Amino acid sequence: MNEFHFSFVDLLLSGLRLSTPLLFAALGGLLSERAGVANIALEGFLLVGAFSAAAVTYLSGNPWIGLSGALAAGAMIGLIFAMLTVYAKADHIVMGTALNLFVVGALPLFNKIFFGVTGSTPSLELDQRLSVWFLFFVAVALSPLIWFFLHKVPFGYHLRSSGENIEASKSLGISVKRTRLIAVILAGMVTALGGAFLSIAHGSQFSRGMSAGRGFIALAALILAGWRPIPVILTCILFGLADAAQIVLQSYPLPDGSTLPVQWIQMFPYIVTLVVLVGFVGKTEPPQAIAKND
Amino acid sequence: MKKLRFLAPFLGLLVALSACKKSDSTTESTAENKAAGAPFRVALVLDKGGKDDKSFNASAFLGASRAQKELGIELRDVEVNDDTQVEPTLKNFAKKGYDLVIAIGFTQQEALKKAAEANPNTHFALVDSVVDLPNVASLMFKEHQGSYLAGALAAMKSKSGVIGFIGGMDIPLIRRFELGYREGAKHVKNNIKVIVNYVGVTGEAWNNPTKAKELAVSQMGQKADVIFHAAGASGAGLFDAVEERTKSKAGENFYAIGVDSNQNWVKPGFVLTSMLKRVDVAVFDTIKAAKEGKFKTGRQDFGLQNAGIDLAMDEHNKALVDDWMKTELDKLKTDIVHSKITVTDYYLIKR
Repeated sequence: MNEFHFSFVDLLLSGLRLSTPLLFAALGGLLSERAGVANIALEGFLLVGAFSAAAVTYLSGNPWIGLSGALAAGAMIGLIFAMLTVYAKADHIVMGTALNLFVVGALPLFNKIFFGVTGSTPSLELDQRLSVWFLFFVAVALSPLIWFFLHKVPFGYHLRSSGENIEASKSLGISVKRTRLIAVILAGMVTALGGAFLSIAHGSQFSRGMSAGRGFIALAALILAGWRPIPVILTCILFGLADAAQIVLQSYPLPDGSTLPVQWIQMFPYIVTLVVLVGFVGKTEPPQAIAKND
Repeated sequence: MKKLRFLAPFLGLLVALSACKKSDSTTESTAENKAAGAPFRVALVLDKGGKDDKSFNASAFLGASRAQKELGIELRDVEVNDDTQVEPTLKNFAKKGYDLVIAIGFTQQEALKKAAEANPNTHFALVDSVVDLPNVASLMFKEHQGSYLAGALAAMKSKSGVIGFIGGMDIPLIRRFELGYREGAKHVKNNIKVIVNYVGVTGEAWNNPTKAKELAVSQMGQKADVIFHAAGASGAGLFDAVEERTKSKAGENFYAIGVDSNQNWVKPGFVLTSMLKRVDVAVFDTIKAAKEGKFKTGRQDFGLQNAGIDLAMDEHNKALVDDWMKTELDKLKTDIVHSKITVTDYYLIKR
């Protein structure tokens, strides 16, 4: 009597929606890490993007201005992260952790200043939000664009070279510091779009901690894709689909009428990661000069 | 050293920001009611959701603020963002000589136990969990009773015969909501189908609205037309999903049921009702009793019998709940209060 029905189309669409913020964050991470700046601050970048998009959209009434706000704030947080890692030469991992913690504490404060509460921004009406699918296509279109940028544009060469070998890059007259600074600012902007997706497209407000670990999942997707912009589309969609599949599995009835324990089902995306990583991908090569300072 | 000098402005900024956040909550929360001699001092320690979660913590803060206004107590509130900070915070308030320290949320249980053992002369109160010590009042809510009513109403309202439940983190407290909801729905309609999903198994599950939205979309895809959430701030995703689905499908209606605080106003017309957990009443009553020297320790239960648990009926959902539904609900309420109906308590079947 507990008949079970769901549609594959719904599952697919849900998976694509869930993969969008991952793809933005993974592409941001790619720009930063290919330039040699290890970036575990993606989580913080996402939150900054989510907050600024929701806040600016609410105050201006226009989601496009909100999206621009997210880009500006993303560039700003990217600039701060680059200053700390590239110029102040702080350890990338330590600074990434510090930045994440800082953002988690600072955003509720800004929220309080603008809206009088620490919990969330005011909710946005339907017509004040962007289409989920528009941003999904932006994310997918961004991947080949970034590939082109890295492989066909001189600055792209410099960026990759800064991430592979600092000394060799300098001997060619490339300013590694400046290249990395620009790369991390771009990373902040791209990742902030993922945050904007969460707060003004898929969701209708910023609430604290709403990225819920997506920055780290994106990092895993990036590593799984071997830091390459086209495969990263596939790994992010894989994670998104695995997430959507576990939603469906939660209500899948066992022969005795009960359902699988939630804890088991929630392992599903991670088991997929392990299987794919060990079984299909094998060893992935990170950029050689990652986390090394000039 | 060069590095450090470079970092100084950023560190300065960090310190300034964190300092101004702290002073901000201090100045705001410390009462000015020092008129009648030494004021009665109360500390409220909220959990991660924070006092603006429009839900559980917000309700606790509301009760304490009311006490501040009406009883002239001095109130300090703190939001603890890090689990390891709970115990030092509680102990610190006790050391400073606060008359009553109230901890909100089951996550503070262990810390409160240690703090209460170390400070036997301070009165403590804990919401949602039990600490069996002579100076602790444990304020417990019968969530299963309210969830039973929510389930009954969902079953009455549903046209498809399928309803949904979205839990936040998969823990016994939320299973208690789920079980009550199932029983209430089955009582009204024996063959009803209840689809159950949980957002996650970690604390992040309370703060993941877009994931909750996908759960709701999936449930509506499986024909659920009334969905109850017990998922904290993630619940915003359910409200969005219900609104979007209703507006995109002409002639079909989908409804959400809110939780803890009255959430009917969040999306008027789409929120069928909210299961109220009157943490505000519990907190206010406890402060009042303590101030009058009648502080009662031990376990205190808030349920339908003392309006600690209820369904929210106001102008926002007046058009959604028919009179016959209200009558049915009142009957069920009376039956539960008079023990004619016993709602299974998940806590009791598990231990």
